[in-house]
Amino acid sequence: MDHSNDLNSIEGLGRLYRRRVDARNAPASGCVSPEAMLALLEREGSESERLATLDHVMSCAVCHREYEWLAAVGKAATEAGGRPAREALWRRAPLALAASLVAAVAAGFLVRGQMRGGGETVRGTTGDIVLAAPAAGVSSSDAPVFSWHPIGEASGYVLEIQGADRGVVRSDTTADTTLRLPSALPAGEYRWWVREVTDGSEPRSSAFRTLKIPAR
Amino acid sequence: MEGTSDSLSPALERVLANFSGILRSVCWRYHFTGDDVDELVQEVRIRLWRAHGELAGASEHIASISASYLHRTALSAAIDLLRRRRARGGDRTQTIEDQDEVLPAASGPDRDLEHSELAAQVERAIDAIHPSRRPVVRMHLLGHSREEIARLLGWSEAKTRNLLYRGLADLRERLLAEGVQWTTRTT
Repeated sequence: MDHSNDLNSIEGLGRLYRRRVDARNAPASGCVSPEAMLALLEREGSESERLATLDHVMSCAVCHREYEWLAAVGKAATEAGGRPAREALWRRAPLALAASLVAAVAAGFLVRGQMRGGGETVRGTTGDIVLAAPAAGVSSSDAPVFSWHPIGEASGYVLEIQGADRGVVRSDTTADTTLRLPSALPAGEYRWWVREVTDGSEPRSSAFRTLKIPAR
Repeated sequence: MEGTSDSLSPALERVLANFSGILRSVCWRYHFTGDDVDELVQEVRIRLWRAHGELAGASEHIASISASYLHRTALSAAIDLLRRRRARGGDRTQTIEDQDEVLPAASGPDRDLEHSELAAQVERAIDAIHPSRRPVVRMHLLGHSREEIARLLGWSEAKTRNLLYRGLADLRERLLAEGVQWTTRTT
């Protein structure tokens, strides 16, 4: 038999696997509970339990759809929740805080202006995301405002902050090109990057940038 | 009480309009239907109303709810919807593709059988992968990105890439053992 069409790329193998999973389109006795799926998404419980849940979810068409649904709801709530919180902050902010935020935004534009002049090495193609602020190195705030340049046709962005061990310590999604951390980062050395939200295709992304939060 | 409800409505609707707009956009990317969104938004509306409707300064509470609070409320509502649908049976979350029921592109019974046999071989090979790598391979084959896998499992990009490639190497080995030649590059 000639399997060349399906086995000459990882995409072909993926199509075969998806067809197999889709063929089992009925709830099975081994289906995981919605609570277990939530624990998976929220990273609660032991890794071995979560891997077992994930193994079933990724081999059962019904559970996979429910997982995608919960992931979509969580993502939308995170994106939606950020906006009223920022508006509330602006409504309540005293004048001095508002002035410092304006200064921070102005500094962001200055950084952008400098970068347009060419001062930063960016990974990948010219379509990738260019970071604006905070600048690389020591941050004056333990909850800095992150910003980056918009790219065409991006529906959203994911900001990810990694710790010294390269593990993800914060990850947030926004439709905007600025993001304020809801809480302070502990003192330490980090690196951060931004990528676009995609529907599974390879996202455009930024280079990594270092960030150091000094002990206070 | 009526005064509270009247002042609460605009704040509640602002939060819900923002949430449902983004939810529709996210669900569109995930190919879920508008019915699912409507049902969930109604459930979230009821929960926020119940939690804040009788408090003094209810509209202030609603207007300033945090991202994490909305996140918890929306996910617990989504979990309840899934539970209810499971209890009803046969009425689980549908995608646009489910409604549209696209026929497979196979060109005949022989081709279907051939694909079915091959898919079964692929599944047996995947089942034999080490359990710490198997879910990662499954996620990858279903089209999830490495970044999503890393974020979901709290792994570094390097660990994710390492386990995925080792899992794919396992898969290649198992497929060869099944007599299936797989000479593909794995980007």
